[in-house]
Amino acid sequence: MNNTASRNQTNVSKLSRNDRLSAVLAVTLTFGAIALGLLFRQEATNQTWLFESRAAGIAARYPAGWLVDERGNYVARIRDPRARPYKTQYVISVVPVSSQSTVRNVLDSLTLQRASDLAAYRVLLVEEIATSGAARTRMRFAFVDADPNPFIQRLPVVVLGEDIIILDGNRAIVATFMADKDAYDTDHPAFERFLASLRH
Amino acid sequence: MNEVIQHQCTVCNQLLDAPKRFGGREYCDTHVHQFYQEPPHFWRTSVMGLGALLLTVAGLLIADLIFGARLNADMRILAGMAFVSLSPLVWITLYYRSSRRNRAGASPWPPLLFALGSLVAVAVTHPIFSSIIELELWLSRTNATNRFLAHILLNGFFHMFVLYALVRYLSWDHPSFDHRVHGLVLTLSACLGYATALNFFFIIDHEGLTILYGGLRLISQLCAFVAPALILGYFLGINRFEDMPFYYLSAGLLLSAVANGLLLYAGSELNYVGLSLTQTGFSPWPGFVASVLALVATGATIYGLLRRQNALARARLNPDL
Amino acid sequence: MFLFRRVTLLIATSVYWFALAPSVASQNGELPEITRARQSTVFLMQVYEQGGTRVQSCIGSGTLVSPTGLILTNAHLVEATGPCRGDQIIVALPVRLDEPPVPTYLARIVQSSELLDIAVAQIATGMDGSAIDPTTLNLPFVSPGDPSALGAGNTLQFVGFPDAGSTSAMSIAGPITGVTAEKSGSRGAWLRTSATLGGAMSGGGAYDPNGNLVGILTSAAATDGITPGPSCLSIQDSNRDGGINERDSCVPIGNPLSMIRPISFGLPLIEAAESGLIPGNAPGLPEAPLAAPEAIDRIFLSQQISDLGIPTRIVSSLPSGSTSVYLFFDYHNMRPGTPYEIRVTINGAAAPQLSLGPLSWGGGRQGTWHAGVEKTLLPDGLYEFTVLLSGQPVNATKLTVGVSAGEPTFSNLIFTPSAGQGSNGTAGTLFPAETVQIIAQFNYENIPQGQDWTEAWYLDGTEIFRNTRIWDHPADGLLSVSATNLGGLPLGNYRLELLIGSRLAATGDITLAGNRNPQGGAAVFSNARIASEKTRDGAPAGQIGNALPLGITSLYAFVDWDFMPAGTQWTYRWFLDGRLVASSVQSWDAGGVGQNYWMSLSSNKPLPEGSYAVEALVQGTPMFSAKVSIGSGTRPVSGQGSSVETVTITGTVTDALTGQGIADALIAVLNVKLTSADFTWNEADIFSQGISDQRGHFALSKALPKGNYYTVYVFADGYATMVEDFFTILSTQASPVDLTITLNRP
Repeated sequence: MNNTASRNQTNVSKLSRNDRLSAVLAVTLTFGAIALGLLFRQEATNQTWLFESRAAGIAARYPAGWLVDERGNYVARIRDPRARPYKTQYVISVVPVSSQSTVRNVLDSLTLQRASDLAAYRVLLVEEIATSGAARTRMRFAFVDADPNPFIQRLPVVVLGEDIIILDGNRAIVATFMADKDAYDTDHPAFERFLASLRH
Repeated sequence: MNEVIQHQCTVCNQLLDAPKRFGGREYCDTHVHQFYQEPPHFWRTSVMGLGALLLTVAGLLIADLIFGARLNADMRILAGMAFVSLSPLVWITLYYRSSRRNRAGASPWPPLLFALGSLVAVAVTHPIFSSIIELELWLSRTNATNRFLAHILLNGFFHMFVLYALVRYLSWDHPSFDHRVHGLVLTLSACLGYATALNFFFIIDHEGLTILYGGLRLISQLCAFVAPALILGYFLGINRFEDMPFYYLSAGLLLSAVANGLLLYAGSELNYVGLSLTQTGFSPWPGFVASVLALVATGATIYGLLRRQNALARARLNPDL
Repeated sequence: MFLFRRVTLLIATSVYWFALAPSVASQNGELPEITRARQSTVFLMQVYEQGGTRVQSCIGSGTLVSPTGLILTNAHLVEATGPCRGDQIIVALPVRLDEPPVPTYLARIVQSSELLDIAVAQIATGMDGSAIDPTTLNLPFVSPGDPSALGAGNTLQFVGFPDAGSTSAMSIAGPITGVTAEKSGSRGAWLRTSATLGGAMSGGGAYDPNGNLVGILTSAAATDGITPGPSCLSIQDSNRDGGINERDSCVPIGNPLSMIRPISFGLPLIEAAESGLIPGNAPGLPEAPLAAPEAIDRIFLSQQISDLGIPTRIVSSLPSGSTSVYLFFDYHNMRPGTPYEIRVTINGAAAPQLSLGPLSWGGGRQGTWHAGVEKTLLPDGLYEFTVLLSGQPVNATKLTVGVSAGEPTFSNLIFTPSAGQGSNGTAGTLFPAETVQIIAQFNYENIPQGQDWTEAWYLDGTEIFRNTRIWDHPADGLLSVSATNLGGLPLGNYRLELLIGSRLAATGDITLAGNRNPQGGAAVFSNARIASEKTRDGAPAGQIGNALPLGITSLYAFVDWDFMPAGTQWTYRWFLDGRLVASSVQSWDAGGVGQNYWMSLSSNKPLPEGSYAVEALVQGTPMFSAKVSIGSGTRPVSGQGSSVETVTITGTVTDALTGQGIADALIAVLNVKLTSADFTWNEADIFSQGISDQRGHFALSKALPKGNYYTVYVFADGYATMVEDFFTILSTQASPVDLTITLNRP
């Protein structure tokens, strides 16, 4: 006998408590794993190694997996072996200065040398900046990097660069960043971190 | 006043006065004896799909011999797309036709999930991985251990969650999902569409691959998706018809994500065969062979597990037999 | 039957391919040594600026002899002499062997010898003048071989550009047909070939079957460089009047060449160029500009030449079966670079096996010259020897071969200082001051009684004594004549002529120069000392002594000199640890007596640590030597000796999936036996590296020593880094090696 007026009907949900918890757990697990992976990637991307030159009294942290060269006319040249088409690099060099030298003299000597060594060398701008709480001079430049060997068909590459001049007593420390023009903006933050870690 | 609890069939949503129960789920008289059945056309179709895969490899070898490096980029793209989509299309077509023959009105979900899987790959996965995460670029810059973990955490979980979501939130409640094996069918359908679309993007992003080496790499990648999809489909199929613990599906998701990451990693890493004056450092065969073996082993394992579960269910629901 | 036909077809096809494939391959293929020689051959253009345009002045070939861009070529192609008046040297490289060469660099001369017509140039800048670091070039090059065993019958490969650069470098095989002597290089001065070689191949290389460089092809253009013609091509609108015509300057192109300078003459120049050390010397007294035309006179033939350069027997006929003949002549007012040629005909027909040149003159303004052949059967006939300058005949003489001997002759003339003067009486051509008598001794044959004969002495070209007598000695024997001055013979260049009747029968030149050394010989130079600098006036300055510190960039050897006649040929050489690093052959032009004549050795960088020696020779006689050490006097031992056999590695980096080359991949080979676990990611750990180009092609910067295993890293963005810890180079591995590296996406 039906007594619809006096009966309430409740539908039991097909989803059990386990089903609902399972859905939440699956989403949580997935997002947790992806977040962990991204965190992991971030840490790996920002991993750095320490470069130290006792002779020059300079230390800095550079991206892990880059190659260090101390054999040239610089304290160190640190470059990314994987970067293409130009091996993004940082160069630390030391230029002696006297009491009568100015930053302008340092910049001029850099320009004079590079104009003969680098093809299509151009100074783009010179400005005063503040990094790590200190006033420094930045010079932006560009040149074309071409392999002189005609048997190797590497296309000439437009390279953008930046010098940061740091006066340090009777010497000027020049930290130079150079990268392919298309990678310049992407790679610049890493150089800023490198610069921030520079100790002298 | 008395409250009356209404019972519904888990499969067809029919209101029941005296539901049959199994594994914490409620069934009508029809579906309680249906979910543990094994329509043979799925496994038959899957074997034929595997055969089509192997025929594809033979086709790659022959095409490479005939055409070699003579194809331009556009022709290589078209050829690559044709080869990589052959096996999935064979499977989805054969399954759909055989399921129509075996029941009145084939379920629309397999082809629908195939298409939706492709759509998600195009609209979500590819943009995220190529533009936002830039995964391939980062993988190239890091070491082998990092690559292994990245394949699992980023690739594995993302891809398997997409498949899980497509099946769990779209087709789960549809009455056509009335067999445990449909968990495999639906997950596999979504996976084939998803993986095929990703492979298409792989071909286009690299402006056409070589017929043989590129084709083998794509097939390896396909296998790296299909094997974990079978694992995930198994868990979904079991959980659909039994109220498993709350961690059950997540465990399946975890297992399939690890399998996917592992196979994607191995499919690439195993291909390094050493550099010498006579060896170039690369061969596509180790990764391909490992992927196909993994697929066959996974398929056989899932087949065995499902048959056992179905036999147990049959025994419990038919004690007189 | 069907099966039989199929089997037969299969066998026939196999035979066809096995039989023909090798011959097809050998026709189309080229020995790797020759390919490398062609890759190492460059096209040189000497240019000058005119109205903002680079105008070609001379063209020719050259050979890369080091990966850092040292080019061996003819001096006349790169020096501004003769018809070549350019001041820039453009180097065009055969980037692709089936295409014309591509002008790529500018070069500068680092070593040059006008006498030998050999120069070594160094690639210095790009075409835009931008500096190039030679150590980064890694160009293909060839190694010198040993020509000492070469002679008539050997087959060589000749490589060069046969014309004005519109074709690729060619390789032509040809036999050596003989050896020609010349004063520039004595008996082995030239190898001759009968191969047909285009004139622009001059400066290119001759190679032995092993692909080693054994000679330098040499030919000057017989032209004044002004008049267009077959030897001077009009190929550019030099005056920019819109057309190429006779008003434009033409480009001299060497005559078809047949002369090869053996590489042994160029080795000292190459070694000096490789050392990077540059010789120099004090400037001489200003020379009066040449106004008189070039002239050749006193031309005669001798059967042979003595080791002192004196004709042994002046002849106008030779018997059948003769195998040697030398042509002598005096030259005056000669300009360097003037094309000169000795053309020989036999009975009116050209005799290329006896001819010489055209070559570029490098023998100085005036003197005596000789050229000839030995061990070459001279057929009977009437010979005519004609000397040509700039393609124009200037003098000639005749010889008849096939006439039986019997004419009166003087022969084997030698000079000695007189006995009893405190001298050693050794025969020579250089005697010191205070010599009071020079005795000239000679053989005579078939002199009839009553024959008139003349003895004539000359000092610096002026006759100082002449005596004609009637022969009253036996027909055959030994006789002496002498020049005597009890107060000491004046210094200078002496000449003795002996005539039978009016015919020149014997002649010889000697020089009196320098003080008498304790051994009785000539000592031109004295008071030798070495300094690190010189003053503006040319006096020693800076560090002086025979042990100098590190960091100096120059060495100056100062000498005083006595009684050195102008024009005397002298040589100075510098050695480092016993190895010749610089040499210069010159004519003395600093006056008869003086102090502080300097010979220098300089470098752009501090001179390497080691033991240095300098020596000077006058007419081949050592005059002085001095030693100095820099630093400890011992050169540091390099890590990997140049005597170790190495393998040059080039190759391609490709994408595993697309098959395309990967651009800008870095390939790094670590130092020997360093594994990836030991790698400190410092470039000091990297022994050799290369970066791939647009096509994925790369060349490692340094060749790898054989018999080792290496760790190789290959980096490229977007691809998994490849690390191989056991990249093995067997000791039997042939070089070069073309390596394929396939990178995979991660």
